[in-house]
Amino acid sequence: MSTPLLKVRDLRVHFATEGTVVRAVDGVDFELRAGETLALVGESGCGKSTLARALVGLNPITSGSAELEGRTITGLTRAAMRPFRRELQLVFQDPYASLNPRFTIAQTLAEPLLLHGKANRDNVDGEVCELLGQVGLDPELRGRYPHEFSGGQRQRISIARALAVEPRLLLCDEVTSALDVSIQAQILDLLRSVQQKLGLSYLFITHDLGVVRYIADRVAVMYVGQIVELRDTESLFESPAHPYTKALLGSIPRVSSGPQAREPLRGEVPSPARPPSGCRFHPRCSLAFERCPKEQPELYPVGGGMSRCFLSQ
Amino acid sequence: MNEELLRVRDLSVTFATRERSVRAVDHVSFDVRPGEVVGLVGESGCGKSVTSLSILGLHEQPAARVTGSIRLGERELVGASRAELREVRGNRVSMIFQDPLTSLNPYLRVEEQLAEVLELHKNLRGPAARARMLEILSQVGIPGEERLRAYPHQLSGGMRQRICIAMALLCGPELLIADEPTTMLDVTIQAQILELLRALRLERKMSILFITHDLGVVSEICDRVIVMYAGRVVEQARTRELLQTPLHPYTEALLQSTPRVDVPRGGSLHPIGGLPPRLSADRLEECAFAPRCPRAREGCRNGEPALSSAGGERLRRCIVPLAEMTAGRS
Repeated sequence: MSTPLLKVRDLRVHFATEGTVVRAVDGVDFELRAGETLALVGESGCGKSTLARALVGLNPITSGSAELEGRTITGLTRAAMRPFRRELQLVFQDPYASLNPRFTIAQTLAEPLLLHGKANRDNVDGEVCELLGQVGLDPELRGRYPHEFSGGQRQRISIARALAVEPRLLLCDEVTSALDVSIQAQILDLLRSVQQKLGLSYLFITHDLGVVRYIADRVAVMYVGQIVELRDTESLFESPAHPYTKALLGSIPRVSSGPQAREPLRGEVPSPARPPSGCRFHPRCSLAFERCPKEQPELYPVGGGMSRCFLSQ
Repeated sequence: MNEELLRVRDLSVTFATRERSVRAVDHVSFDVRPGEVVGLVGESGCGKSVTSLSILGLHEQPAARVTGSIRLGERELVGASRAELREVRGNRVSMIFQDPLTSLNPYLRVEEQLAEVLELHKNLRGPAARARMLEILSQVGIPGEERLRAYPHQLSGGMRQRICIAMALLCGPELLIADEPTTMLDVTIQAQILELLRALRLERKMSILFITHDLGVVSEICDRVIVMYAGRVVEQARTRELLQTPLHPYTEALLQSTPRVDVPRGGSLHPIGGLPPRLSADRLEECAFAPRCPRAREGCRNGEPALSSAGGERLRRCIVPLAEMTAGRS
């Protein structure tokens, strides 16, 4: 079997606050194959963004490891991390906050090109134009500033900046959440076509399961710092195994049916500072039995993936 | 006959900026009947929130020029005095917003925020006010006195939105304006809040004007839908009809560009190319959606089409023949 592009082993990111430890990411394992899109889904505070930020070194890792094609990228010094930064690029949710308002688009895109030696002073302008063409923007606009662009156009610029250094893996953190649906569809299409052209892999973080079904090959569902289900996209949507995944899918309003008779999930997501004993979902689970609060379930194999539930054992 | 609770006619809202005038809402008309949930749907900048703020008279004058008519029962709200508006706000019409944290005062406990409403509007104090607060909190699914002592930051997002709903309901309004009330919430919490609003509406026979960009949410809670684009109403229909057979290409495009959980992978999205038009106060020379419309034709460039009947209560602002819009649909 070929080495996966990204291999994450028992990764933990804990934050110490006054007297308590917030276990934001608490033992996460997964692999990402080359050319694949893996979606990381879950509700606010489940740890999905913390995980992505930890992978690029923006959050300190407490324990565990991550490897990029067999080379460890965790626990490195800034200098040692630098070559990997090129291969791993992060695109953020808010295209208003992630572009420097005082830089023209040409300056924004030239910076990474020059910094990583992808271009020199003489040919950088041509490279910038090519990047803009790649994300569907008119290169003539490169002298303009971010405020002259719409949200969707800014997100295209953010994507162009990430692509500038020819990464292997793009970590997309809610990249379409701030956009209107008609524009979101444009960006999703762009990401798909860029992937086909360049053979990129995506770790796609989102709370929108409609987007997941459209773009992902596989899905990891997180709950209170852990992966509770990891499946092929179609298996997950057709036959969710974990009770939390079922509840999540059941909560989504659907265009095709009227008001659904459903039992909304009771209560709220527990704090990662005080995760429940045993299975972290047991206090809200309608199927919980005596074993659930006592023992922590592992990830058990189910069709097309794994599920962290005793009922999947 | 006057069966409407809210009757909006030819509402226009124009903002004057230094360089030009922007008409954010352009001759919008619609009704909300007693006990009805009406969805106001569209993307950023379509005018849905500006419309709803006009109902409460919340635009800064004179920067915003509001014309047309908004009648709540017998009372005209456009041009109403501050005193008249104060009588309406909170008592007859109240509003909840997208971000419950910014709509609550961070320095006040829940109890103090609720007490203020009762004191100002109902002249209710002391034990009577407290009893009313506890009653309303239990109605929004927050039992017990403990939460009354909490500050907003001590509550979760879903809980804060419940508090906002409780505050909005304290004076028993006839109309609740809900501006994207679940947009910032997680889906499982969104489902809880939608269920709460559905139950409250039945219990209190209250009307809701529900502003959202999410057609899934519309499908869950709205009886009728008004679709807005570039400050105009482009389609109006009962929810099922609109979602099953959209009669305006914009509604159709909106549906086709929404990624759906119930459509297997490999299904295609159809993004709407381009961007919405820059709004101005001038008359349009063509249909506002024509530059982005996949069904646009020669006639679409000859002035803006009127909002016209498409059978029964359905309205649409489009010249594409109905048969063409419904072809291939059940």
